[in-house]
Amino acid sequence: MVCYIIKKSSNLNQNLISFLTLRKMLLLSDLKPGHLAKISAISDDLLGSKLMDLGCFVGQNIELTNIAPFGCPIAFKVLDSVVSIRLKDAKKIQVEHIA
Amino acid sequence: MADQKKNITVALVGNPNTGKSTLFNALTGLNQKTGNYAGVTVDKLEGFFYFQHNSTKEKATLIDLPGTYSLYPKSIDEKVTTDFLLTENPEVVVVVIDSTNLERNLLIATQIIDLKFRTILAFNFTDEATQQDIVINLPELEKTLGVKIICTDSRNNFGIDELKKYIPEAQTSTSHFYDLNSPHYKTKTYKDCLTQNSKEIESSDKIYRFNVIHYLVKKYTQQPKDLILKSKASRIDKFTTHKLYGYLILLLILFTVFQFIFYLAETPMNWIESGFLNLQDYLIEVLPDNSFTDLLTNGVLSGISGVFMFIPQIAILFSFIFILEDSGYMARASFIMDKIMRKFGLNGKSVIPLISGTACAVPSIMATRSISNTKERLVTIFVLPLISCSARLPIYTLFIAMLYPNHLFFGVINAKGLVLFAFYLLGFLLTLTIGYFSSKIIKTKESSVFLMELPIYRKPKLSDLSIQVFNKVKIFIFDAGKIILGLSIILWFLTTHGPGNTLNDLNNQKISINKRPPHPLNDSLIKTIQHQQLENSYLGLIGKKIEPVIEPLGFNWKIGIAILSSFAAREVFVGTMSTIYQSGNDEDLQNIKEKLDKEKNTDGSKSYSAATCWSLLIFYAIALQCMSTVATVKRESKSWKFSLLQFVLFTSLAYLCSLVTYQLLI
Repeated sequence: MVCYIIKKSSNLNQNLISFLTLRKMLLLSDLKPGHLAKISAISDDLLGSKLMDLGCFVGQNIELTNIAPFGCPIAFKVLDSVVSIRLKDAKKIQVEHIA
Repeated sequence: MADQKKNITVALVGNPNTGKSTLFNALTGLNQKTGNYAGVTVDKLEGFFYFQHNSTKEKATLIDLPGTYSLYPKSIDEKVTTDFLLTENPEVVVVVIDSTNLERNLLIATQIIDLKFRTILAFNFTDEATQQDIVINLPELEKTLGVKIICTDSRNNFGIDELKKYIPEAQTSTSHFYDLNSPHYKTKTYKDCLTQNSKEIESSDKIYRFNVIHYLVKKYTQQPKDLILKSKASRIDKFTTHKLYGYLILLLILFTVFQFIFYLAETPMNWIESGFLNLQDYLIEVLPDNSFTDLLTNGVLSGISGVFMFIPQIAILFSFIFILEDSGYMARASFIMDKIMRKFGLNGKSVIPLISGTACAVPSIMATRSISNTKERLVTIFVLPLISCSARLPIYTLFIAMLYPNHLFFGVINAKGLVLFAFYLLGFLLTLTIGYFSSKIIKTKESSVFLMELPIYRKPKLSDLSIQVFNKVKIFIFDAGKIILGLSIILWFLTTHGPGNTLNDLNNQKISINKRPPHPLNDSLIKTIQHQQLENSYLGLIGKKIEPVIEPLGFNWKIGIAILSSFAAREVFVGTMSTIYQSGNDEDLQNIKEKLDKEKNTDGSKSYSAATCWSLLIFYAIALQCMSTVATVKRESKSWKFSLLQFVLFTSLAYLCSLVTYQLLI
């Protein structure tokens, strides 16, 4: 019985941990219009270097401005210009939510 | 000669949406030449202008390079820019910069400066910067960057003369903006590092530059937190990208474009047509009656008129495309259509080419250049000819009228209109279906990312519009025109020449009839001879040769001839039919219709039964019966294989569908 409780709580713990890491691993695709965020990682080389041309690199602040009907593509503001990318690419961009 | 100095070459570079083309037009006016960069389908724009230097007038060649965000190329367009700069070494580089977005635009400017080009920075959209209370400390920025900055507003031709004046004084900067402490630049110049194509150098270089630029912009400029024009754009976006209004607005725009291409173009097209017919009649009257006159009037002139007929439609289509692109709306249309179109292997930017395909596939295929994703562009090009273009309209009209002369469905709906609509629908459905399957098959090496800027809304400049339309019409006349003209002459030869002496004998008979005193029977005699001439020409013989192949579709050899001759352009079909059936006036549909209706087979049944008409309609809806399209596809895809595959596939599909239709209905 005790064993079971420990097992259960460790399961719970693990769930909690993975939940927390998931929360931390926020993606650009998770943001809502009006959200401000800071880019923390881009997991695709070509995407990363294309975005970098627009001044969009790790550490840069961005603001999600628009999501197209049906959820894709999305548009965000970086360095005073609005850029749109497809959802599958937005999922490769990790961000930290600011406001 | 002393005053014959070498022209200097000036290259125009900058980010997309910086008014670069407007500046190019303002500098060169109509002194432009369009072309292609070797091996790639990237428009090459070249022009020239004069400037004063030491009180002499000198000439400069201006090259408008494709817009790019940095000199590390990511696409074919961008590679053209980098390659041109590094191999052609232009004397002066003018970097066009959006003054309302300095931080991003200065990236490429600092790269150009570090390549040690004689550089001038054109700070464009200064009117918008002023309007939005952006203050730039130009003298200090100029000093730090080490190059001349000219304020321009290309939309209002402001600063153009000053820019021209400073061209000869352009200087190489002594400043540098790359990381001097980085080990990469210890032994090599910046140019060497740029061409090395190393991901590591690239990203560290860009980050270093952005940091420097960020510092400079902070130090030398002031701007309010929210820029008016940008927040205005986002307010308009609420409507244009709305899940309901967005599509309604797009639908309304597409409807307008469709209406204009069809109805506004009709009148000038009729003028062009009747103008050429009058010229033909006049030449036949004044020139001696020999085969040269015949070649000139029936071969060359009818070919040229076939080319010129399309000018109104092309001009209207490209006017709309220009307005939609330049106003910033096109990006929004792509934004809301991308997900839907992608399901069928297409791109958000495929919408406009597909809709304009209802006018003509040729300019629409040209218009797919704005699709940056290679694969989606190829799929769009591949399916475009399935859209029912206006050249199919005469055929649709003729045979639908034969099927339903004056029929009303449910007492109110005009049957002709409904069937016509059904054929347009068939075209669209086929486009989407084939698009879906071909996107599974077409493979491209280039992995790509869909990245599109949503620029602010701007009023398009009218003079730019006319220059752009003029250039597109010119490209069409010289590229597609060549092929249409050549084919018209080949076709003329095939219809007027034949094996043996039969045609000559017939011609002599015709001449002798013409010499006879006027008689009511003469006309019909001549028409019978014309008919025999066509039957005995090479084209007639080929038509008879292919009869066994097309018989299962319900086509006789006369239709065979018309199909073959309509390779030049679909609308030739009706013309050929009228020659075969000796109709007096080429374009008199009513007349041909009656003739076709009366035509009987050897067994006494109607030649143009309902089954044959449906079969023909289906054949023309699908088949790629257009040499200009084949040639344009070849030019835009850079592959004969692609173009021929498309041709063979659509012809086979058309054959199969016609076969099924005819065999089911017979």
